[in-house]
Amino acid sequence: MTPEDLAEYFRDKLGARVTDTKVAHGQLTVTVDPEALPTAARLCKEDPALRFDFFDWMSGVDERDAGFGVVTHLYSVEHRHHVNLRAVAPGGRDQPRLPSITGVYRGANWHEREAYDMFGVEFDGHPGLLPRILTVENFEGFPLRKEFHLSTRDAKPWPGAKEPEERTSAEAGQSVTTIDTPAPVSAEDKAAAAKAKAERAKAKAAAMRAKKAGERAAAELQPAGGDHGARAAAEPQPAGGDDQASAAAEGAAPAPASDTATMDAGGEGLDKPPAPSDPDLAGAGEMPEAASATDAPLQADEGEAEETRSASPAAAGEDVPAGTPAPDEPMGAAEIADSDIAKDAAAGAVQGDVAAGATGDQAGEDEPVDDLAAETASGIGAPPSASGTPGVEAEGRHGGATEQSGDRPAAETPGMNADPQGRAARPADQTPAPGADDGASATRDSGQAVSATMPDPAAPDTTPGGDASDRPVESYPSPDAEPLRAQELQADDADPPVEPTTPSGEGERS
Amino acid sequence: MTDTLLRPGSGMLPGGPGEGMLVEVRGEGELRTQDMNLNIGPQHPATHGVLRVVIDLDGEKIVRATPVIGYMHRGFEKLAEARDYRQIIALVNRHDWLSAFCNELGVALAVERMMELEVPDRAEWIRVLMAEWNRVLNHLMFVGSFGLELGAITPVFFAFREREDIQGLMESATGGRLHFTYTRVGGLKEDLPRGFLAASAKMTRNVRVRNSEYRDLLEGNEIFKARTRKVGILPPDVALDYGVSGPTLHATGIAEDARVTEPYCRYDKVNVHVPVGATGDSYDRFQILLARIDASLDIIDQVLDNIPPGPVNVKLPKIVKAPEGEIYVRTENPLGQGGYYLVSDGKKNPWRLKMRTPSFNNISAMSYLLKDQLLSDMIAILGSVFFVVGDVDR
Repeated sequence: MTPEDLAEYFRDKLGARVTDTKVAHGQLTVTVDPEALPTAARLCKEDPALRFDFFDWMSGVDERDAGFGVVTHLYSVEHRHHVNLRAVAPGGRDQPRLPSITGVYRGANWHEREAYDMFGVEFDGHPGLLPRILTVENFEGFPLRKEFHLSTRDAKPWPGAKEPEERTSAEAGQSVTTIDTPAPVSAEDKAAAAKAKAERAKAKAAAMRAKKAGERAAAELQPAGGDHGARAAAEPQPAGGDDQASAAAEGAAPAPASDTATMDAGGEGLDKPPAPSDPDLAGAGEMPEAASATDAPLQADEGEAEETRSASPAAAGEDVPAGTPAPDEPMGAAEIADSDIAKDAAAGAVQGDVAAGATGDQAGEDEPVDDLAAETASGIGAPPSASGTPGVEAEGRHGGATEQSGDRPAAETPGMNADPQGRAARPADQTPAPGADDGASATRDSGQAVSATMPDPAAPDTTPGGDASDRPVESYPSPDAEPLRAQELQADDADPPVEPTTPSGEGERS
Repeated sequence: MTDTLLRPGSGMLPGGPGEGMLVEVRGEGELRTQDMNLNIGPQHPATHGVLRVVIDLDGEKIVRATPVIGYMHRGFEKLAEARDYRQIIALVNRHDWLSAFCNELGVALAVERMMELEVPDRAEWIRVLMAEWNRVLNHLMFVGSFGLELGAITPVFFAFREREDIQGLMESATGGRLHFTYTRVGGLKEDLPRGFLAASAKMTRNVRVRNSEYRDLLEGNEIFKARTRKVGILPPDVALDYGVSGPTLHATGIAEDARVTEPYCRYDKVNVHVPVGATGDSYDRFQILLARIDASLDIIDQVLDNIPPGPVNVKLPKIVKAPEGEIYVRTENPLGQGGYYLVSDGKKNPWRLKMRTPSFNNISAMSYLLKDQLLSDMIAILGSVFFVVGDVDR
């Protein structure tokens, strides 16, 4: 029977219990009264003209305000025809209930359990919907309902929403806003919060870079392992006359000279420029002044906004690696934004996880250009992080942190600045950064280490709008290709409009 | 003898030499055994992943078997609602990692049919070709693993040798060994590389020869026969009731195969042989598997004879949007009937994408199959209902 005939047959047999029939794409959907679902199923199975003996599948569908529909697909091996038996569960979104058809089709058992697990549709007469079939037993909520948000999408809109009109509408990737259950915080708010945070992070990072570059420039005037006194004296200069800073630095300057020198020698490299202090050592009691010496310039540099934070040496210590683009490890750049944000969160901002989620997504390829976190990070060579999962991001940050604290305990000191420089970038010392893109460019030029290994910072800005798959795929060079098989290989969705790739010949050209 | 059995200080053991048996039998003369509850899995080599089967045993007999699934649930259906159709293609070749190409094909077909898109002829032929290679790849895996589970260790090494070759072949075209992501809405990612068809033709000859070796190794093996014949018989009506499909259904004698009954791509232009069994036991299922490899190789040969030149994809707008409505597309995947029920609200990501996976239905019939079987037959039954746990759990 054709789908139309089948629809007619169903209407004849079930009368008013068929509320709707629809044929689309050659497929028949029969909507029946929920009460009549088992009757309809039995008719499908036993009527010789129908003989739907193959139970294919059953699935819930979120029907928005109407609640949940359940579609059962049946097939007849004998007659080779299909039907979608559909019923909308009464009870709306709160108490969707349907009679079970496990008595008719044994295969419906698991499918009804799945429908319950995913949509919360209860089936009267089912031998046991619990334990939940796919999710864990203590899972809360019904995941395929539209009001159930993916946690990643909660933190940040769908990164695939690269079309401008979709990006500005709050529901990018969450076509769920028709359901009136509000998300705890709307995606827009969170995105805005994350963006603001990222902006702060960026400004801070730029300031730090300027500062560090100045210091490095000063340090560069002296040979490696140079005079500590001079170094320390040079330090407060960019700080622009903050009393506390200069005083502390002056007080501290003579003290660390011998001690840190030996420590450096025992540490990572002899050519490491002087590290006037190490907070760990300082914290151990030998040179408390040294700690303030490193903190003070920071404080001066960052301004009043950060006073409370830098009051704690530990918190302030986190800043320095943030301002230090570690040239030989690309993660270093990501750390800038991350650690700042993490620190902010630790300092009491409530959206800590939001921020983390945002930075986690920052280097995604579809990231909008105006995401400042992404710009900041990619501008200094952060590797694209495909993951938008906050958890993953947290892990990455954690790893970076341990590396910094474990591998190089002196990370907090200005000496840390010079370390990567000494290790990685000697040959490229005077190379200016090619196309440094933001406010820090002038000073970053003197950060030789940065320019040595940094990927072109302008590059990420040119691409974020594009999808990887939008770029045409390179053709294989096929000089002697057989005409049959050689062909221009091209992505299906490249920009120019409708026109199939031409067959043979083009491949040979390329 | 007696000495070793004696516990210190326990005196003489009843029933020892020189004494009469002192066993007293009460009741109707039958020893009662206690029902035992046994967990097979979730981590068990015979379950191909993390399937758990809770069985109640009366002695050696399985009274009740309950498959417990969900250990590998990754929420693909939910993820698909937040992806566009190109991304979904990369998503769906992950749930059944042994049938990646066939899975992605289903999504592409669903979207194309909704958009009423005409796919270039060559692309359709290549799809048939790749789907059949994927089928061979899949079946070789199970030929090897099923033998392995029954104690025959040689076939798995042999099977993996061919798998490696075929994977290399498919990698040359798609760039992937497991997750091909070669299909696109409206065609394919790119054309076949030069020399692919020639290599393909060579490979079919090679695999056909090897396949007969597996036949000799396993089908002619007395132990193999003894362990699989008349074991785990699935009647056809029960199979249909549960929605069992693929080799497991064909073994019951029903030749329901979407490639024949509702041909997609260019299956209508080739001669598809669907081998069917007679009894529906484990041995039949395995035989079907081997026969399907040969059938697939035949189809590949026909494709190689018929494949036309031409483009392999159509140009689409940057954003692919399926028009509003719903569609169900089924394909014959290596493990059975795979299908996608796609409900679109006209956006670029689906409103609902139901994945109809063959393993889910096949495993749901497991409680029927294992009931009243011996525990020692369980592995032979479990292994012969070919499934991938990722395909069950999605």
